[in-house]
Amino acid sequence: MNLNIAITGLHATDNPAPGIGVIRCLLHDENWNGKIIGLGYDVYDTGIYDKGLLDHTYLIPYPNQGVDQLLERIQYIHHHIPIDVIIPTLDSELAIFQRIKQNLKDMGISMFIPSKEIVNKRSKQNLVSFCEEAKISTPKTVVIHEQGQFQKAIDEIGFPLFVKGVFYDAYKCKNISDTSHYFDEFRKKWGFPVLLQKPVNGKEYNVCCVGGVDGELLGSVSIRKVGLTDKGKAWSAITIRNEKLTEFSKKILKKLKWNGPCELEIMVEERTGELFLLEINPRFPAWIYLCTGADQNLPKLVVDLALGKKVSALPPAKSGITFVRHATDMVCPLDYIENLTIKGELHY
Amino acid sequence: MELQFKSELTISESGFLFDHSTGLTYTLNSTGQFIFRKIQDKQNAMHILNFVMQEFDVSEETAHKDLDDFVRQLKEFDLVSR
Amino acid sequence: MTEKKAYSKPTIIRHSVGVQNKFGRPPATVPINRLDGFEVSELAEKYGSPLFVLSVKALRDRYRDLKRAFSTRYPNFQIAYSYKTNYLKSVCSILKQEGAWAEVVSGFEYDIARNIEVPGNQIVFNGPYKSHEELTRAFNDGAIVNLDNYDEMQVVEKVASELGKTLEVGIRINMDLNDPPWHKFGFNVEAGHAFEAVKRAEAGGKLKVVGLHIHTGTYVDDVTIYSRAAQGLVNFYSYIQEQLGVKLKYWDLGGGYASHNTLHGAYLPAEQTCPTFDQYAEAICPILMSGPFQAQDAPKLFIEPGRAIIDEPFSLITSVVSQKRLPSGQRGVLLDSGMNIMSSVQWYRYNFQSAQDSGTMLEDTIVYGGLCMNIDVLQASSSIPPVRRGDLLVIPHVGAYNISQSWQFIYLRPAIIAIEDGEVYVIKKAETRDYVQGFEDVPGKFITN
Repeated sequence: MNLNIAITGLHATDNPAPGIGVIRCLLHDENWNGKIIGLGYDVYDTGIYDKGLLDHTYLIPYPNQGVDQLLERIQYIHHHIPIDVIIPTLDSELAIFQRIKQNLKDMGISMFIPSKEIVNKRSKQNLVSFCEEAKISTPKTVVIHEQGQFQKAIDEIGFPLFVKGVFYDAYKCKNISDTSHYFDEFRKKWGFPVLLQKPVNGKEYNVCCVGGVDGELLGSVSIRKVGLTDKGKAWSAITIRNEKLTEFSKKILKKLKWNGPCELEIMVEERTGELFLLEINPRFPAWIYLCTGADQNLPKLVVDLALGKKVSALPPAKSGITFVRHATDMVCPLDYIENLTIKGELHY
Repeated sequence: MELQFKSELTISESGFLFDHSTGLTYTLNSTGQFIFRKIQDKQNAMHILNFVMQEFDVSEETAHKDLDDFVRQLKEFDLVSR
Repeated sequence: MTEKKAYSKPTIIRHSVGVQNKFGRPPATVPINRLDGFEVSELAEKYGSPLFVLSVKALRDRYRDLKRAFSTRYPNFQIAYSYKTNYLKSVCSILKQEGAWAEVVSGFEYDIARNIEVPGNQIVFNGPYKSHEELTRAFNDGAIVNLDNYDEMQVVEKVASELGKTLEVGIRINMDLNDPPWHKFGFNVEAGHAFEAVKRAEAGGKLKVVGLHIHTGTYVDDVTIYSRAAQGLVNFYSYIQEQLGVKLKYWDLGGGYASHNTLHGAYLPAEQTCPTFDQYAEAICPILMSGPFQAQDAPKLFIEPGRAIIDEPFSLITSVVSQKRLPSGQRGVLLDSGMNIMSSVQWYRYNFQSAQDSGTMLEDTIVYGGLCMNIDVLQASSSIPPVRRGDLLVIPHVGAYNISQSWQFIYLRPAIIAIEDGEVYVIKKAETRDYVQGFEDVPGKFITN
């Protein structure tokens, strides 16, 4: 089938966006016979310059420019190159794509992303209550909505603890002065809520999953990160096969009715072997290309789901497959920059 | 008034300008490109004003003021000699 | 002779990494050349620039939408318009026509309401400072008075003695809802002060507590704060009903509802973050309805919106006076209006939209006001197409606070017009020197040589 698939999140520097990994997965499929349309936010989004991967690139407005701007731009692109499926890959753009999902559908463009309600349940401030309800273990967390709750929360969690912002970042603190310091920083930067969380002593695993229409687990690849950058991002990891992780992931997706891709961050406690859910990232991880080595092409699965095809669960992923991330330089002529700057599009 | 570019500049059909000496890039709109090419052709400011008025539907007053603004901007970007 | 080409101002823009990509037609490139059917250029020519323009239809629509959202969810509902956000007589009169009551916070505002014949019993009198005379007038008129502090309570007890009757009052309370919390107004619930205040008011024998008032903050776009305030009101009412036998005739959730203006520092535009009136109502009404009463006895619910209904209907037409290049390379544009008539620039990142088609070559620009003051900056960074002296810009959504907080300084303040059904009405004339200096007097001895 001849498909045109548009993918966002093309900027891959030291904290790479997942878009390029998703594209490489789609191209990896032996039956692939389509066109890849990159949707970039900036002339210097690095993935745009990887001409072997893309057929066309278009710049699109930032999410903060609003719904109308984005829709108008997608209509323009769709008019020139009809798009069958869009795969958004960034946290920050999920909300706006949810809002235009129906408009895109009316234009004949499909997506497979969960609704706002479902995604909200796993937001940092709501995760605790979701886990309580669903009987899923998560590290003890107190969500602080006002200054008055701070001391009580510390008493409840005890040291050491993590101070976490509602969007990004976490700091491990061993005493009250560090805790107050980071708490104030988060409060000033993002406002309330700020979270305090009890650390779980053990090993962290990550699972990339795809949930079907009713949240049934259709595919999952579990990894242990082997090498981390100084920002804590994986530059190397290995796939594992672990029934407990798979069952745990299955339960989480089912309870959320998660329909779409996600990455679960899971701790296995050293002492008890108990599994704790840390976070759910509502998109593919940057290391998604690894899944092709484990014989689970999850982006292809998402394309099929977006097109409404009937799909069945994939066989378990192969274990012992490794990825190593390796930075490389690409060379491009001036007219790449010119076309992107002047026309906002590039055809390879 | 003689206008002269300070370094080698390349402008494309689309109005994308590259300064070979600094690596900086610019965008010009169509009127800007028109004037730019006249400067490349070593026309002086008086002649350029006449060319603009022949080419475009514009009053002398507006064209004159805009040309002054544009040349000032080229100087501020250090593209032509001050 | 061959046809000449269409002309646009010659422009060159230098690129930088992270340049704003222009491939979504940002709002600044969509010109606003008409306001409610009238050419912006014609309005400016006829009534001067700058010029405030009120769309009466937009005002009525905002009001009606808000009223519908709440009154379909709560049986006994009343809007009291916050006068301080814009107390132009025409604005107050239009909202009175629509059925709004007046929410006033000073004797002066009270007088404005009475002057346009708002009945006394349709005025909610708040504010931390109300004089003895003002309170006497309000109680004589049957106005709704919410008490802010004990000093005021004592004055009102004195008024009660003078009038020889028990007076019905509301108590302003506050809760720890925001960061930092709003503790200036009323009595704090968490610290027990609010309960003490109700108890004290009842104990004096001269006052009867029939209302509670809470104001959650300003530009509150998080509806959960309203939910928590509503829950706090329900809990507090249940408690004072049980402990003191208080039966409320009304409760008042104050104002603070956001408008479609984007605050400085906000990432997403207000278009995406500003809750709808339905979302506010849904966050508030079901919780209040869980209070200690039968539905048919629900206390009257007041809300006191200001900016949420008055921001959008007003636009400012303003002219470009000059533009210049700063040493940093950034473009500066100077306008004929300044922060003396646009005080909200300190909170809002306004859109400056061209009134003529100026192309799509946007450039990062610092927008200066016309005052001879270095601090008069209307926006430090705004994407604006090429403009030249005399071009008109339109700044939408300027109705709240800018006019009531404007100050006469260096320039005379501009005219204000209203448009409805194809008619233009001057609702405030441009100031004149006589108007500004009319109250001044120069003693003769200062003049003779």
